[in-house]
Amino acid sequence: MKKLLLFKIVFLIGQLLAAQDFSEGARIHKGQFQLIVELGISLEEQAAFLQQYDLDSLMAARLFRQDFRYINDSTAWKVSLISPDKVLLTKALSAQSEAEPDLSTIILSEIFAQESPSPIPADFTANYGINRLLDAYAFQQYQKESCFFLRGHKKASKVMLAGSFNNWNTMQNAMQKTDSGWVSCLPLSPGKHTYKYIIDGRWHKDPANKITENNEHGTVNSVVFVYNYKFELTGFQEATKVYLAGSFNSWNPEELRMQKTESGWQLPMFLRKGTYTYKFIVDGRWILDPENPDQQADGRGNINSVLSFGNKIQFILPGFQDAKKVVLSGSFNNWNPDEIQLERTPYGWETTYAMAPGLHEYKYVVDGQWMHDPANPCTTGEPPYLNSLIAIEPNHIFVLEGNSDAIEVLVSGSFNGWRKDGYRMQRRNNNWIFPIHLQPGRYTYKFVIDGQWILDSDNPYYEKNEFDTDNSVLWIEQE
Amino acid sequence: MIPKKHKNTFDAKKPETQIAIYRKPIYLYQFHKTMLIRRLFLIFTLVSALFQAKAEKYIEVNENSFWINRLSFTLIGQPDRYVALGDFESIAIPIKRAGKLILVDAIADSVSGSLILDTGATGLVLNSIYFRDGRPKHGYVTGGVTGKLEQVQQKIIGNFHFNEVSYQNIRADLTDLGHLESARQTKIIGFFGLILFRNFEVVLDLKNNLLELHRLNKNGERLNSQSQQPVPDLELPIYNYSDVYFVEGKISNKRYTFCLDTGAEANVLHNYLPDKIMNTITILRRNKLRGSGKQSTEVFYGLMNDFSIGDRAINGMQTLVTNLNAMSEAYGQQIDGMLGCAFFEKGVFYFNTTKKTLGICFYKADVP
Repeated sequence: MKKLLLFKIVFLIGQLLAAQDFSEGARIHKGQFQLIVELGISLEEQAAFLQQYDLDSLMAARLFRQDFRYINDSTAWKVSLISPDKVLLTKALSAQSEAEPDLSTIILSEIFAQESPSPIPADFTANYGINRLLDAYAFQQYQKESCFFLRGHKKASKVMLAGSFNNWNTMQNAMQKTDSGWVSCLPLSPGKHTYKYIIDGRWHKDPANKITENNEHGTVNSVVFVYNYKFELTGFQEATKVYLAGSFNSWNPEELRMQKTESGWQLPMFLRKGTYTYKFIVDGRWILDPENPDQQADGRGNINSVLSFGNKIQFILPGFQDAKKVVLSGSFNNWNPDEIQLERTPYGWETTYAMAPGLHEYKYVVDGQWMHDPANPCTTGEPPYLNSLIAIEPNHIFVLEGNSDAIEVLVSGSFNGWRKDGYRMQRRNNNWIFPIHLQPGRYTYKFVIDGQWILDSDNPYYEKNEFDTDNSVLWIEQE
Repeated sequence: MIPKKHKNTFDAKKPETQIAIYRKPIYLYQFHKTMLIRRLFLIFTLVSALFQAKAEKYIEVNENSFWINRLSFTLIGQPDRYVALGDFESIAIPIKRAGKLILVDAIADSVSGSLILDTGATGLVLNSIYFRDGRPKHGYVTGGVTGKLEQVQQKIIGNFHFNEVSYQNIRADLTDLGHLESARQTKIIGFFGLILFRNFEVVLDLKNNLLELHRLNKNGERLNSQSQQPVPDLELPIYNYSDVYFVEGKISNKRYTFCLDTGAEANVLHNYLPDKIMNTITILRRNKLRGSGKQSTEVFYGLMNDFSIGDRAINGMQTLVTNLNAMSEAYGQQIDGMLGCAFFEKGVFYFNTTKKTLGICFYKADVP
């Protein structure tokens, strides 16, 4: 009997000590979640507190109003006052149920809650780029191929090349052994590419390449550019330094130094297709490109040379003969309503404009009235508020075979935020098509035939979505 | 830890095909008792002769083929056995990471992509998105179908390989891993457990993004004499259920069973551990996660302040706290917690599934 009493006393003291220990924060105790709440915190702190512990806002409002009876009677939570401005909030841990999310979902969502902000997608949209190599042989560009060369490592038994160009596949590009190192040649499209060497299973950055960028795993990748353009300036051979600056590099005057040649100066580089303004800086003096008649005023009293590089698209608007001014405006020029004016022709209006690869929205502004392109069936939006769509260098074409009797077919997916008004497809023979240019990555989509959402029956890849229906899956890989 | 709906598909104790060949006549005929004894005697004599022949090198048997004198026979139809082929004793395989996931590139019947190394998985599971037979039905309207139970699909993969390791005619379960793919923006064609690496020492070095495989002899020693395991800081016994391995860890000096799970992006603790243990966990956040229907489950996110393994204390590891009953049922084994990527990022890990040991060489703390 005495022993039992002694045990009880020890147990109670233990309980008391344990209770005293817990005066702030949160814990799991006796199958319950316990939380100490300071009642006097500010509204902002209250909001953060609710988010931190995923508390019901109605319950919390009553809590901070000190309406404890409601909480105790009507919710799964129990409140007890432990000091005038502090309460202990407890709740039994929820029981196991069959319908609860599986553990992988739990882990994934928690990992996401920890990762903030979301991982930065690889940047494939560099406007321009120039290689900085310690060894000129490390990366060489030929007409059809580009060659990577890794000097040394003669004792290695296998060297692989992995990068953005092969989706970082570690098994695809085995390098060839030479008498001085390892080489691999492959066709690469102009632009920015990131890569690493895998020497006998171990990842290495390119020791001969000065340009690296951090990856999301705390290490670095080597960066190389495949060139597609050369700026040239003839003459000025007595000059000591010539730089190039333009809208593509935010007019940085000391970044792009040109190389001296027999006839003048040059700078080969990668330049993203599009329309740019630029100037040369010869020993500190800004000059226009003497060989380029295309010039444009910047509105601040300066005149710059204009470069239209790449896909020159001809925009034609027939009719509207009585109009005084027709302007092309779109996502490619921040919907500027004055910049790109169309010229009058015997049949209507037209202009050409160089655009970067991508899916662009545009409209015409006819004497101040905005309208979509009547000749282009690819649109987005709800009538009458439609924007026309144009894909420059499309890297995928959505095709829906048949359904020629349908009135309207849309494609909608993760690439446009699953917009209900989707992208309107165009009828081509007996099919519906929509060309698109997407950044590399994974996309899900569906077709909407006269309001009915359907899977792409020609795409074998599909997956369940959160509504327990299926979406088609599309991977776009870097070219 | 990837969805493990199909946990028990792979049973490591299935009889081997060679044995089945010898057993077959006994099962086929029901003889009179004396006849049976006589037949058994004959079979015994035959088996002894075979063994003698094998001993004298007239017959050679390996795991997927055997030959008698100069005639070679291939054992087919053992899709539950993952026999790693490839002419190497040691191999280094580059790892990629997507979030915390540990990925290796592979090709399965011409589909290439990344597979998750998931030591918590009992077999090979492939992403059904890429391995379904056939296309969706034409004009397939998707909507309104709810609560339909999907049957576990399986597929025999004729040729599966990563790096120089290859497998032939192996069975894989199929499951939809679309949620992982879209969360990680990486093509994930499946996940696999240590069952693929039987008879290998598996070395996982996350700091260097490296997975090494070393073939082992019967005693669990590396065949490659050039490559010896360094003396680990810790060498712990591990035990297995199927091909999933467990290790003993301590929280507040009490012993608990942890599943070694490289597929879990976070450590996980069972929320029913006693108060003394729970009091050592700093709870930083709580989340309610909705499952299908109105049910939701609570997940707590915190820090383990008094965890140790062997004689090494590892403090401040992040952990989730949730209910692991379903996991325990799936493994037929009480699981108190799972050690996931946060744990495997602490050092180089040496899984020796023959000796059943886990060696750890801890990374030296980064000097600021």
